Amino acid sequence: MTTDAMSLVSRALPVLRAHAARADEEASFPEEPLQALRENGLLGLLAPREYGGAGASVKTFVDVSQALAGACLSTAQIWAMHCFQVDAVARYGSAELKADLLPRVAKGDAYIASVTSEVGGRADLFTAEAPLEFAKDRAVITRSAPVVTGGAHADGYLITMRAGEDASEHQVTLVYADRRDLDVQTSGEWNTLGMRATESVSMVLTGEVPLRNVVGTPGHCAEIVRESLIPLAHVGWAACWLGTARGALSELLRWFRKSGRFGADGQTSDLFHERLARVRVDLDLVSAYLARVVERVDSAREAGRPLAEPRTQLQLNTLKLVSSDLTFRAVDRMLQLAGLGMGYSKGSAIPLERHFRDLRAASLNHNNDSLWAGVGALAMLDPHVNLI
Amino acid sequence: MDNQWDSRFESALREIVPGLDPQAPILPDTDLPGAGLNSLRIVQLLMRLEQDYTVEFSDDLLTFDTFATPRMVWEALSAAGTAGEVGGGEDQS
Repeated sequence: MTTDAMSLVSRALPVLRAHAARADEEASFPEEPLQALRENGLLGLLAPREYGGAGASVKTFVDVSQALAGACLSTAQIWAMHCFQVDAVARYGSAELKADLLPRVAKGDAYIASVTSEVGGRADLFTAEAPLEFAKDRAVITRSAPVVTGGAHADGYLITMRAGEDASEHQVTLVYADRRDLDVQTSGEWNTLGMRATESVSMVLTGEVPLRNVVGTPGHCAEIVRESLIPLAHVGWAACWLGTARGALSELLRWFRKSGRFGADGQTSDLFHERLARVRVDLDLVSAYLARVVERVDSAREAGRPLAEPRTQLQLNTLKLVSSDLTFRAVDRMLQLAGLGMGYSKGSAIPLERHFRDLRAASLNHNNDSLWAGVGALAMLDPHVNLI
Repeated sequence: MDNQWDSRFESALREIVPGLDPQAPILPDTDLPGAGLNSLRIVQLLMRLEQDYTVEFSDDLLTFDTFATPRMVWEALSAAGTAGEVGGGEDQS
């Protein structure tokens, strides 16, 4: 991690750690941790420097995600999702929208939530039902969404809408709305097994925004999805999940060495070492794949090459699949190593049970089932099997 | 003209791209992703065209851009085979 990123994160981490258990217990949004991220310039990590942001690379974004998730996965994921939205606006927003919004992001005043889910529909970013309507020089938004992470606490929203009354569900427009321009109603109870502090609520958003708030070409959101939202989401989530599992393993190893107790029966053995090895190997595999994908994303962006080609999309989807599966498997094995007292119990010195519950959501969050099918389809487009 | 494709090409598009209006003609610049040609269906369309025309798309043609419009798919199909092969099948209209 760069010195700058490390210093920004190190001031926020104690706040995240201090609130993680209570936010999980109460299923409440991590207000104080988000405030710490606002005050330490982390909301603007991916905002370009010309707008006061840090203009950080994807590598730095991933480093920060990992570090934050080692303290609180819910907060880290809320922050990472905000960063995807910032990246999309920075790359595809109009000059007027960027000049208005990005300085506020950089100052920590604008936390942006993502509105992509739809009642009865898929949250796949490539389809939308509710049409964006137009009245004079305003875009009119009427949008309900069953799941909006942190929606009740956001300062603005990046929303997928059908391009218009006559457009197909596949013609999707991305539009930004400040909370102050919308009537915002929230409902529903977020009472889940894990990721409880993300407080993902149902929302109905209605209001009007200037036309300059349309992000990218109307009806062609797929390019933004493939160039920005999916790449950043998949490397960001992978980094978050890896950060949580890595932090847990670090704490567990320290506890083993300090206590002299090895495993559930207190004895060191080949079985104990094998289990430990399997955890370590899973985390190294995720780390290696993540690092390779991040290199590809950063180098493509520096060279102005598109990410929206099948092989890169296959690798980005593979990253999401392997990181969600392997980090959950790793924390499951850590529970087995730590035993009932240290591993399975609420209130133990190492919150392995919380990590287990949180990481169980990784394969459900943008469901792995459809991604596996997508990777299979993309594999058909690469008969020479050009591996990463 | 780019839109002088044959009936097999038109049939393949109509069967695989779900959002094409059956009452309206397919134009060279019809927005295929906007009509629902996602990556799963791109693979279906690719396999269908390769089988129907006995050609193989080279790797450099296998991008999302290639499948953006009927014109671009037809051009790629033409590039994938020789001019004699494309449109020269048994049920050419």
